[in-house]
Amino acid sequence: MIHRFAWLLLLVFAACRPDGYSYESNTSGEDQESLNSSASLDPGESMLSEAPLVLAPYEASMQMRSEVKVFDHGVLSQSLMEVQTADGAGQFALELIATKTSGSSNWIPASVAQRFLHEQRQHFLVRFRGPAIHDSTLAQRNYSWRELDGNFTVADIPVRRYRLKSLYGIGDVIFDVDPSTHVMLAWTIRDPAGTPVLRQTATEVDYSPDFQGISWADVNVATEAYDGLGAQGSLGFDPLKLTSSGAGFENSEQKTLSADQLFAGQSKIHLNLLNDGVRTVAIAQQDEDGVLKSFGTEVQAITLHHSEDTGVTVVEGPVLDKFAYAIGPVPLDDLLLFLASLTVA
Amino acid sequence: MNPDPQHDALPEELKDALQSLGGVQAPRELADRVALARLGQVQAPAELRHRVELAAFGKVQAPAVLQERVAAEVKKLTRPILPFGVTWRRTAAAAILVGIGVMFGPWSGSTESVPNREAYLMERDALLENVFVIEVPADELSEASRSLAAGFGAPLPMEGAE
Repeated sequence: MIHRFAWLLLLVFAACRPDGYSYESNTSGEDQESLNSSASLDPGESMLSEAPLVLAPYEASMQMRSEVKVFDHGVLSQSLMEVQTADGAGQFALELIATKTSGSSNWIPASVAQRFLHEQRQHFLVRFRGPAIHDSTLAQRNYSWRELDGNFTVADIPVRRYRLKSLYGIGDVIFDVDPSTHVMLAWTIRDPAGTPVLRQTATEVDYSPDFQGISWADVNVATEAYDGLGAQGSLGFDPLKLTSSGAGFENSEQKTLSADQLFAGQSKIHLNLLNDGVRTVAIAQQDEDGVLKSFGTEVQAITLHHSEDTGVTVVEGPVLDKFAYAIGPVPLDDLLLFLASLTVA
Repeated sequence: MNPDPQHDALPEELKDALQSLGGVQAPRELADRVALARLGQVQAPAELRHRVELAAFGKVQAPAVLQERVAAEVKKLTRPILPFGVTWRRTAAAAILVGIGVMFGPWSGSTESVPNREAYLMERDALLENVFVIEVPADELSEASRSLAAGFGAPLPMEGAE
């Protein structure tokens, strides 16, 4: 009887292991070897046993003036001065104040056209431009979390600096987090060589802002949730199916984009937003009644155009009978993979 | 953002002739051929790169299919087979093994699988063997592409700044 009771206790104990599951400490065998090789610590940093709570600015109640830097092959291409406001209950707003070109030390007030374009895209910019903990499970699975030693401040606020090392080798992400509020006040997305791609740094932070006069972003502007009906629904065509999750991008949020409202003269776009827990990529497609359709549903090769002088990697081109786009702060090959994996549903 | 210096301007005579065509749109194949002609360099298929690597450095890398088969065989041959009986000692040992497995196994409520970078790279490279990519300046991308990219943080057009 005692033995049986002991087994029962053992199983109960096993079932009650802590949720703060340490990725590094709970892997074994071959997996542990591969993780050790890719997750070796750099000097001046320590491995985190569990992921800290990190809130994106749009999840908090605050107003933040910040500087966003867009890099072109590691060289600063453009800086944007923005003010972001959020009420902590899901509403947020992003305002473009000024821009600065590479090599210039002077801020130029944003033009009416620039402010309009920014306002139109504020929902995407706030939610998907920068990293955030979109999914804690994926974030812990796809990244090795470390904390950097030292004293860091952002907007005169002491912060803790975390480095999320990509276990797929698509580049690291750096977070500066205010430990008193858990809000991320600065971030940098790097390429696999460690070169910055995009960076945002708060310059002023107000956790008790006045929300009067704030025009909140319209979440649904020009987009609606994809109804899954393909040609029979509002999209008007059957989108190709994504068959690869790439470097651990598993969450999928599908939208129908009324492109004619945002991008003049365009037909509707099927937009698939994927994240790896931390960063977001977009796979988009439009119907194209072009010559490629005559090849049927199988093509032996596809030719795509890409550009990386846009801060984020952009790829576009015909895939089967669609014109497809892939956009995101990940290396070219890791983005191409998504388009190469598109098949007829 | 700078224009590609390899892109020579069209002769005026050709420009006039093209403009006289009005709204006629060139077929995509023509655009692709022009782009390929301007490419200047083509990335060799992975298979060719492997053969060159083999010839140059004497390295041999087994094909992915063979590696998978060997791995499966090794796993099968080395799988521990426990002769479970009905005695309490063996049952207890099984319970302990189950408990340890639940505690320290690679699965958990928060992780479904562990990233296997090597397998991912093999899958990626195999899928990309038939993909040809041409790098172009951002302003040669489609309007939709540039607009989508701007939503993800691509630089704003600087023209018209007040």
